[in-house]
Amino acid sequence: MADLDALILSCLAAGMDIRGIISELHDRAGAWISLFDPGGRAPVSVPDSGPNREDTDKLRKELIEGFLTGDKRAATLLRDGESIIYDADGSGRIHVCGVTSQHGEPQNIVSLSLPAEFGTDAALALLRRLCQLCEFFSRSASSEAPAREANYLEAGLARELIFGGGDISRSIFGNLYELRFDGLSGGLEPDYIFAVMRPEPPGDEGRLAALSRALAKLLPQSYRLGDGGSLYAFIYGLSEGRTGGCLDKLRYFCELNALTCGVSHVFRSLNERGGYRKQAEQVLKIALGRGRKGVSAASGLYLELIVSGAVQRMGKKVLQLTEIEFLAAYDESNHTEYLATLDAYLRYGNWLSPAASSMFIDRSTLKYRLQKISDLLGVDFEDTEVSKRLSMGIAVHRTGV
Amino acid sequence: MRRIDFDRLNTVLLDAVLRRASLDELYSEVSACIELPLICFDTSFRLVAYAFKRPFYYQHWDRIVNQGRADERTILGHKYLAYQEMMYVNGRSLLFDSGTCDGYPQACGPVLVGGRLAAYCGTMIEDVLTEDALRANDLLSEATALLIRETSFSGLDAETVEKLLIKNQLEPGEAAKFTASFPAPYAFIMLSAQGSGVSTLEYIRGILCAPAKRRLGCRDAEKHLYMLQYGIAGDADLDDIRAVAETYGLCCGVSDRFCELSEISERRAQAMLTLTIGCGGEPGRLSTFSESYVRIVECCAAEFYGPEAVRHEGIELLAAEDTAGDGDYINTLRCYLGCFKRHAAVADKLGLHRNTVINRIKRIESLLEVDISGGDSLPELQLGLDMHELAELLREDRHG
Repeated sequence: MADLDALILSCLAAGMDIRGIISELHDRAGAWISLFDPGGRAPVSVPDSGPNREDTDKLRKELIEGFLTGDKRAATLLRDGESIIYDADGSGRIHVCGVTSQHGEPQNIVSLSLPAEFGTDAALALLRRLCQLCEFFSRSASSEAPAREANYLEAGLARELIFGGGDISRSIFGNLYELRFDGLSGGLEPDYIFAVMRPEPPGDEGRLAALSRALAKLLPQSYRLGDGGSLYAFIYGLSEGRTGGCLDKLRYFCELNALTCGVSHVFRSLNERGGYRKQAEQVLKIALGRGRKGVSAASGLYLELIVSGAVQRMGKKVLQLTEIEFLAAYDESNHTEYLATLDAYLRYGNWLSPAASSMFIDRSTLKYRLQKISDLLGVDFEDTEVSKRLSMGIAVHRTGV
Repeated sequence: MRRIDFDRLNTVLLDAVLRRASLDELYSEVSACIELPLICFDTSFRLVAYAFKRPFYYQHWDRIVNQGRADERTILGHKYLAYQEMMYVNGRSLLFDSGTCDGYPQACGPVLVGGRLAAYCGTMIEDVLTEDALRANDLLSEATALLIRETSFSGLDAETVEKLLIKNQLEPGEAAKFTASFPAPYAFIMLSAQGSGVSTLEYIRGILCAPAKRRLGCRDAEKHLYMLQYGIAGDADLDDIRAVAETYGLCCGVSDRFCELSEISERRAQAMLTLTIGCGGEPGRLSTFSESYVRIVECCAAEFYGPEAVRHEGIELLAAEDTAGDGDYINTLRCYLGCFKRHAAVADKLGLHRNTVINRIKRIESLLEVDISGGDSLPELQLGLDMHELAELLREDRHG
């Protein structure tokens, strides 16, 4: 072991990165080493093919499946952070496995295989060194670590809460929820909201991780994940008038960090969370489309939100109303404002005066325009069904999502 | 009982096919060969060919020849379509000797051109063995299909129609040719089979896509009939479809009108949405995209977000107040918006005093913190009310 320590030291002195050091350990001691995370992010494996790579893939699968089915060994490794010896059969090699951090943010799972003559103690000692090395390189890396929770259980649960949908007890990672809260009855306290925040330009992993940590301090009752350049937050425990305070904190946070944020309605059932996440995403899209900064809430954008969801589901072309597209095309070729006029008239419930005032035109001008529009479309605006249809058609025409 | 000389029959059939004989020639030559009466009619019961002396003893065949087709009353009254469906499902000739065929045993089968049901042919069995009659009718059906393919008696290229209406594979050149023959504006029409069977759908296609109807149509598997109405003049163009949908208890969805064939896949989606959402599974109903538009957008949103996440927070607050027994706010607001905010009309409709309406609206405004009377929130509130209704319906559905 002392030889291997000397080897690692000399590698560090020579300015080698972790991959270089691992390669040296392979060349000098015949060690097979793999670093990977349960999410399957590009693992480092030396040697990168043959039995070592196959073992790594098999191990990763076993650990994740084992963890989800309550396997003790997987839990020892992933939840308690203790090293394990695995698959020490007649292959002539010793296999050990550890995680790079016991209580801090876990970075990687380290798998080590040494020829049997080294003995188990030496293998575990080298494994510890490797874990320390990973932490060393992780700390000295210029970029921040990706946004993760305190342990794999929390990270998995965050992913399920934020990106999952439907009945949580039946979902793929639903058992994480049971594990975390010791049964569904003692779960997360309602009410809930989703917030999706986006920096400009969209944040990289490091920026989102930093934002996640900062938001955790402000809103400790939240699960957060970075994805696609945005930071998603699932916030819980908002009953008894706590929503206002939460929104104030979000506004403060978004202003401080120059973020645009979409916030869902408040909801009480975890099984509906998928729809509310989509709400927050759509609100964010609408806000970004309008160049709005800060926090936009679903309640202030209800019509746009519903229409943009429908358009997202079916495609804008399918839901465009021929009458409205005709009117828009007429406006464009004749430099008229019939669509805006019709919109104002319908928004004010077919009342001339407020509609005319909102457009800064005379009542008689508005009446004249409405007559022209009616002639063009051959419809009667005083029919409730017609006015509802045209209102909806205008909203679909204007949606940019 | 007599046997059929199949060697001779095969020679007659092959001769007719190779020299591209007319269907009339084919049928009279085959009839002369096997000495049995024959008939062929298309999926709409229009006569294609026949070979027997008239007046014929079997009045159903004689009437088809006399009128050039079977009329709708006879078709429905004598359940012709049920017999045709049996033939189609079997894929080969069957013996029919009961019901309308009682006392007139006949071998009848489908004529499939390129896998598509194109017609039916029948052989009156008379003095031959049934198995021979069935085999002969199958051979006749195959020869008929070959000659139909050669002569295209329907005048429509079914493959091109399918390419346009189902597969979106019409090349620009073909599309230009198509537009020249079948001018805009168009509407995409979709009829659902409602389990009525292929022969019924084909029969209806025959009725609705007859040359004077300015429609092209094809069947999508066994579930839907797709049609393109061209050169639309007005809503009256749909009257016959409405009548057929009602008669046969079929649902029908019609897209918005359009002028570009390149939009056909979106228009097909419109017709499909109208069929599923606008008709609501109600047999015999025809619905257009614009009639069902608001509900279609609402349902698409509900599908995207889920039924709970589409609820309007303010409207749900009113619903909660209603449940607590104070007010009838939802109904009042719906009526108020429907009457374009005219208090007197609402009072009249709900049988309330005008002041009661005014007070309720004030209370609603204070609960929602919105100026409904003078503000521009009408479309949003109307949508919120609709979504409340839809969410409740979906919840009831989920709870059975």
